[in-house]
Amino acid sequence: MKGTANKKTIAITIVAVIVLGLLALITAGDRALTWMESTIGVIVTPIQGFVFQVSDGIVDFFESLFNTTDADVENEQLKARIATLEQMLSDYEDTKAENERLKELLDFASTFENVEYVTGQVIGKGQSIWFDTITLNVGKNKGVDVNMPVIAAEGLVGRVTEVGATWCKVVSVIDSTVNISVMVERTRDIGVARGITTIGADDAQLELMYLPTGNDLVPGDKIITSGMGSDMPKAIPVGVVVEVLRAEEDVSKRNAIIEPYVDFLHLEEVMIIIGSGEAE
Amino acid sequence: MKKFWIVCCVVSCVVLDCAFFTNVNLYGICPDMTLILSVLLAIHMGGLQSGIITGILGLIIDLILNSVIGITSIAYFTAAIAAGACYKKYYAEYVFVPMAYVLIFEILKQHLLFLVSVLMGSTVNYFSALVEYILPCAIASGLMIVPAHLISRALLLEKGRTGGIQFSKRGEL
Repeated sequence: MKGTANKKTIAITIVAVIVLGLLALITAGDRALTWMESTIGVIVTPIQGFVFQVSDGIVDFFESLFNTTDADVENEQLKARIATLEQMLSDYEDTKAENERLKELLDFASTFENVEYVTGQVIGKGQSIWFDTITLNVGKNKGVDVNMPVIAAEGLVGRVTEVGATWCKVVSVIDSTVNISVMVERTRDIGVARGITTIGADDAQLELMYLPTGNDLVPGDKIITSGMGSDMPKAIPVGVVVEVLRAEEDVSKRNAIIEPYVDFLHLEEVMIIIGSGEAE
Repeated sequence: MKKFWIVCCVVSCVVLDCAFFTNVNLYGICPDMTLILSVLLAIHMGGLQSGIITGILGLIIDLILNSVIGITSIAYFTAAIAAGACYKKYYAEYVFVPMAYVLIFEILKQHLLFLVSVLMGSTVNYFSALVEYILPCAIASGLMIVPAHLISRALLLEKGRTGGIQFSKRGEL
């Protein structure tokens, strides 16, 4: 009897692993979400968004503990005495900071001609270092679709890969499985940028490849999107060259290391371009 | 009451995994609370039940946060089925038993994710990833199971009328 039960468990396990494996295989590329996935997302993402904000608050609290200058100590004493007022001030500062971030986003967006966009908040981040994805609180309800570019005030964030009714998933440019066509702003050389899986470091980096032989790339060169080969508009800032690697013989090798402009660790608001545009 | 605590444990682990540890970690190294949950639930409820609960959780987490859907679900499901071998066994009392399961399945899960990322075009160095990320993540999960095991024993272990843990003649709980 026990043997039969064990056989049943093993059979269920094998079937489940095969089904889930197939699911992983199917979902490894770009695809449209099923209505069931979209519905689950609609239910789960508001909770996820709330919890993510609470978690951010906890991180801010611990960061403030390490600020030990005299001004901070005095500030802490004042906070204790005027807690209610401080709370109001804190709320005001949060709103002000959010307004400033949104203003920067709008200023950045105004550098593009004929661009249509929607803003969204980051409500989740991928769990492991292998893939770099973020979840936003906007979806089909705001006109978001797959492959639309996502930008922050500093530059390119990534592109939309899955869209639900009220949420979407974005794969960022620092994901090591994403290739984007880029251009060196100064020399107009075109190449491909791809994320590097950084282990043991917080700094995200990209590698620049396939530049023409004889390029005169130098550290400090600005890298922008080329606008070729995808729905990505031209001239969105991607990053700055921090290290040049000379591989004249083999163009397939890495040409340079790029540091992205966007701080992916502290990303809060982003903008999704729902209509194409080009920088002035 | 047991069901209530199970729901509490599930919610806590998902919140920790999806929101807390994605922000609070050491260069990306953090424990996998849902994997810990799948092993502990398997010990207290049986492998299949735990596998179904955490397998579905894995699917939801993948759907909302991850690029590839199904990988973490496979890891949680198989971990639960394997740890189900300890269901109602006296040796499940010792923390090193679930710890071993968590260590093994965290390493397996990370290898699966590594494999998928390489197949999708990533060029990460394996040994660097193993030493600097996969093993530290497994150790973090292995350490986190110590308090989790104590909490789960207090909340989920069924006790006899005398209040102590009841063992059968065959050494089962």
